[in-house]
Amino acid sequence: MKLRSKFFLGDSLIILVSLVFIIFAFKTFWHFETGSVVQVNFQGKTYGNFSLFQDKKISLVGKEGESMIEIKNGQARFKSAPCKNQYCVQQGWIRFTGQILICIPNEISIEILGKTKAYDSLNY
Amino acid sequence: MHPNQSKIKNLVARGPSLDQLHISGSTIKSTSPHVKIDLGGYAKGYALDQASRIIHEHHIKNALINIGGNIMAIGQHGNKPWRVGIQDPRGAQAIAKVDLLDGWAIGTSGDYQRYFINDGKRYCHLIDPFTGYPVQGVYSATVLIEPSQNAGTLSDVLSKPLFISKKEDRKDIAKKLRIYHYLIIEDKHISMTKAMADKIQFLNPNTQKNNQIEITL
Amino acid sequence: MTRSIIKIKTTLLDHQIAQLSAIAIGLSLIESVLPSPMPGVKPGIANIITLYALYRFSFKTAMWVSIIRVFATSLILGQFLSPTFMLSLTGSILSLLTLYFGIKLPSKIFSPLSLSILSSFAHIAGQLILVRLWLIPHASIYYLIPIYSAAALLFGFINGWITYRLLKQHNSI
Repeated sequence: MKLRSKFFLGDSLIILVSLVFIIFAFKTFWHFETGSVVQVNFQGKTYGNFSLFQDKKISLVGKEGESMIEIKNGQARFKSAPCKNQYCVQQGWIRFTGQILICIPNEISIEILGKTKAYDSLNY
Repeated sequence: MHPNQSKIKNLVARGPSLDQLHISGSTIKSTSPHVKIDLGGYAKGYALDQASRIIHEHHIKNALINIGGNIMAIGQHGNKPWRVGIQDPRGAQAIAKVDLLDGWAIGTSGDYQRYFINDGKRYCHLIDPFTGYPVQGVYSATVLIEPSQNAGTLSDVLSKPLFISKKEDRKDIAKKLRIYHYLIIEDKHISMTKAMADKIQFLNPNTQKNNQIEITL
Repeated sequence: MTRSIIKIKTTLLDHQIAQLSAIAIGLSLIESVLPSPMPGVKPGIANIITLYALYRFSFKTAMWVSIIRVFATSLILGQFLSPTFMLSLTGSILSLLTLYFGIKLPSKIFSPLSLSILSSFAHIAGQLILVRLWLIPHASIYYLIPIYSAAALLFGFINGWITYRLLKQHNSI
């Protein structure tokens, strides 16, 4: 198949659209507001929601072994994990709303929640 | 099953009233055997004032007290005021939000918490003392009370007269009771004082589209 | 007793696929030892071979090369049927699907660069969907979209460019 040399029009288009999408994605999905709650999901269910403003260690024993989640100073992280790759541990601390750490082999994910609520309490 | 109209008429005719109570110290006497005391519509507000007192005694600077839906604010939330949502009487979420400054209290009476529906008609727990029947047509009445010693009590007590009163009497009653901020939600109709309108913000843009908003002075 | 020798007739296509697969597997293995900033963010250099095979030979060749590479690499690394393997497979399938339609685009306007970027995005999309639907159902993966997309564009671009250069060299064929 012969390749012509003049074909960058479509390429540029695709690159441009991709860039626009990426910028949009960053703007929409990346929040830099400090979260207040971390949600721990284990084996497909929500294990619990924990306030970030407490020092706490959570131990979960999954298929691969024991994962240790640590909450401290408004941040959360995987302190230790039994998996081979240690991806989740390597990522370190998370604190912003929307940030998430996933340990696939042990089926655990921790996610920072805390979209600014419209109000502090409800009157009824 | 329908209420006995004549029975209700008789009960209303007995006319129990607070005027028939005489309170001296911690003794309460009544001149009428038909008066019974029910602290619904009073106790929660009273508790707010008590809680506020305790909080101040402990030198706590900021707190938001919510007792069964009645709320009082102390201080603020970090560096912005406490923000309170007002329940939509016909929805699952808040219909509006309002900033509650230090010492202010908010109370709402509504037909959506304790009621039953019979033959398509809703019967709520708030009874009009002049007819003997539950108030019909008003979904909720919210009052905002300025700081004072019994702001909490007032926020509980004062929403009832507004809830029960007829549309044309509201302005006078509010004036008499010195309620400057109130919000009343009815079917497709929302009325409030200008002072209240300045303070609240509807959370859903459709609210203003779907309802007739009336702002009284 | 006479020994019977079974001779499998191989075609030229078979050889081409085998050779390309071998290279692709090699690249995959090399990549597996390189550190990555974030799980799931990989240069995906083996995709160069897939793309090259697509242009130089046919979609069928590319498909075989890709599938063989995914299976063989996971077997060698001892990750067969693991979540990693599933992610790789899902990404590759969606990637191939995109290439199947992508190659039909006018080549005067869309070069291998375009296809590389498109299949790159398809790859991460497949992986994110798998994570969301099956692996970690409760996770809100939105947070990962920006960075995965940026990686898809970057590596899609680099791989596409390399493929284009390689194809240009063999233009005579």
